[in-house]
Amino acid sequence: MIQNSTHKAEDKGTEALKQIDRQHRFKVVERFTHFISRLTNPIFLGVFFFVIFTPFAICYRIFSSQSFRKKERNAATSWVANSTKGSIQLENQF
Amino acid sequence: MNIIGISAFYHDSAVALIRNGEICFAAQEERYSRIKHDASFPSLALKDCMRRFQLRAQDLEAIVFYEKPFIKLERLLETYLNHAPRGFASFRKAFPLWSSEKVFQRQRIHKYLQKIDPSFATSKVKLLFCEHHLSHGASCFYPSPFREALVLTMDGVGEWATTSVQRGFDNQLFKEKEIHFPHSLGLFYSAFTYYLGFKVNSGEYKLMGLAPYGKPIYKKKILDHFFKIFDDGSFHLNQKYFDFAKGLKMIRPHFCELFGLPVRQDGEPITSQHMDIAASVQAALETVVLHMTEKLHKQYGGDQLCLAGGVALNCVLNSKIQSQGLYKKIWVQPAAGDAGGALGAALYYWHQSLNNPRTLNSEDSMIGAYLGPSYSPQEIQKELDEMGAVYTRPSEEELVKSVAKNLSQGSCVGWFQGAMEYGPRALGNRSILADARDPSMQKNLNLKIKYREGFRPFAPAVLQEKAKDWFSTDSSPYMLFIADVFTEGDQTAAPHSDTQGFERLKEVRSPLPAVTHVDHSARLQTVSKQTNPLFHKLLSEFEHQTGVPVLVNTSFNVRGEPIVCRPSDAYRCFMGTELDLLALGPFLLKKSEQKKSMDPNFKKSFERD
Repeated sequence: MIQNSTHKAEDKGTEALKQIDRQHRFKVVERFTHFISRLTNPIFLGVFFFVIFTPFAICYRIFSSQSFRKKERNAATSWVANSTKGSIQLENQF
Repeated sequence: MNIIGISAFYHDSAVALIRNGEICFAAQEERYSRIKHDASFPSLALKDCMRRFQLRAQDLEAIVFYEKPFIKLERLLETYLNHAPRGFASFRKAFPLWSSEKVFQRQRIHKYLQKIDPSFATSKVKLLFCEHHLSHGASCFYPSPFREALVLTMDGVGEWATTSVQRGFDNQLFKEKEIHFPHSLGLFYSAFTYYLGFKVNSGEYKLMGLAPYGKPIYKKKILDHFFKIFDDGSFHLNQKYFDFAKGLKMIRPHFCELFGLPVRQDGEPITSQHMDIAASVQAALETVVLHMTEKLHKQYGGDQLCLAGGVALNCVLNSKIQSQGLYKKIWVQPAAGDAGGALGAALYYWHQSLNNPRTLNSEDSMIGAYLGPSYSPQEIQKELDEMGAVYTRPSEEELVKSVAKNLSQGSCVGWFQGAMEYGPRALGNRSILADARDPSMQKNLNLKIKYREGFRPFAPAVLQEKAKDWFSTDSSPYMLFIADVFTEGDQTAAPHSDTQGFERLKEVRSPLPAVTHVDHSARLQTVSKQTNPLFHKLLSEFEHQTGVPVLVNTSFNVRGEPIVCRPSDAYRCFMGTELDLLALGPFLLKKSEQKKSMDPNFKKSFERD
């Protein structure tokens, strides 16, 4: 009986140590992935911003009449009249 | 029918409750979280609101968010489209947030709501989205005493709009026109706040307070270089000088070159040039807005104007609009900043969407802005006991007499009574009070109690019926207008002197030196018996003892701390500052009788603003 309970206590102790070890490993992995994401995020976002977004933005500025510069060029006012008369729809997020 | 309004995720998040059209509760999250200008979802405020009014999810008709996230996202994207390849630094920071904050806003809000009350998961409460400037417009038109009014809202930016003109008639409010980002008066003022070394979205008051020390010698330069003002009252802001649209900073190098001065860093001395710049910015803002109000009056007519948005917290500007004389009556929402959007969003749904009628109140429907949480004597006593405070419980008469006597003898008193104020101003329920006659009081309060810059002015609270004897106005219940302080007897504004800069602080400019700013003005609060009977009683007793119906009224907090909310917040602030006396509900606490010693680390526990 005494031996049995000693074994159980040892098992519990080992399990607790394993748990601590697992937590420690998890923290290491977490820190590593965080480091990787900090490294890769700017790279991925940089590629997206400069390779995809910027050419699109340049085309937008050339062809769209809604670009800031075109809207402001020769403008005689900066008031934008409300085109939708009546109440706004609150159900929509737009 | 219960409607909740919410503003969150930018700055000053807040909650408001409308019950059958009546404003029942409104409070900012910062008061609960103790984080100044807290932008997070107002979970604590909402939880408290629902507890106080015994509300469950199924009791709510709708929750109305104060802006439309998709339109805001569209503005952010379009701004980058207009500037790419420039703007990567801010894009890199903003892009990951968009996915969680803007695209999934509805789901995000639902998650927060379910954390507060799990029954939100199964309830049929509607989640609605108002527009940012309509929320501001509704917050100032619906509670106003006007059946019909022109509504002007100005702030940094909402979705696209930075300035909006609306017309309100009875229970209907319609948008007429607006000015879009990046042309923003709020961001223009914030850019200078940053340039002068103060915190954006927080230090704008400091710029306004600094302005009277300088001369507006740069006004023409600012108007010529920064603005293109159109004949119809609108304007363009020259983006050559600003970086807020795409960068991480507010201004570009051209901005500093224009004044030949680098950005002032926190802690650096404030020079006369900084003062002149502050005076010039304020004067330029006034010129642009007064031109706008003149043209709006010409176009729309009317003699009643409602103001909201962060720019409407500029009480000097509000008074200039009043002095312009085009609008006979002006009403400004006391929570004019983003916190007020929560109230406006809920009111818009109730009146405009559900077409419920308004009940006009001859003053207004804000109940003096005392819309936050209040605490019963039992609750206060429990918190005081838990904190080991030593207190007495005199009768109301004795309490008022004792506080007035201590004030007249030069004590600084913490005054915590009734419901907390909604909006940035303490209006006599969460206030620090002092004797306005004491010439050294401004310096003492700034340096020993509030721990803030010595140049900042303090506001007076005056009995409404006596205001005309001391100031050039008789009505300013929310500290949103300024007035000249009269010299004793002849009621003419006090003479101006030739002293320069902060030296002017040493002058005694009026019989109320602690509240008379260097330009002889004061941002006063007129206290009426109807809205705050106890504070009115205290002012009356102070007048009875001293002959002066005026007290210094500043917010109950230290620099960087949100205004106190709970009794325990008030006690901590009392023990962390050199306040002499604390009137907490019916209880009176004297510093000299406390068993605990003062907490020297209290002022350091808040980030400086």
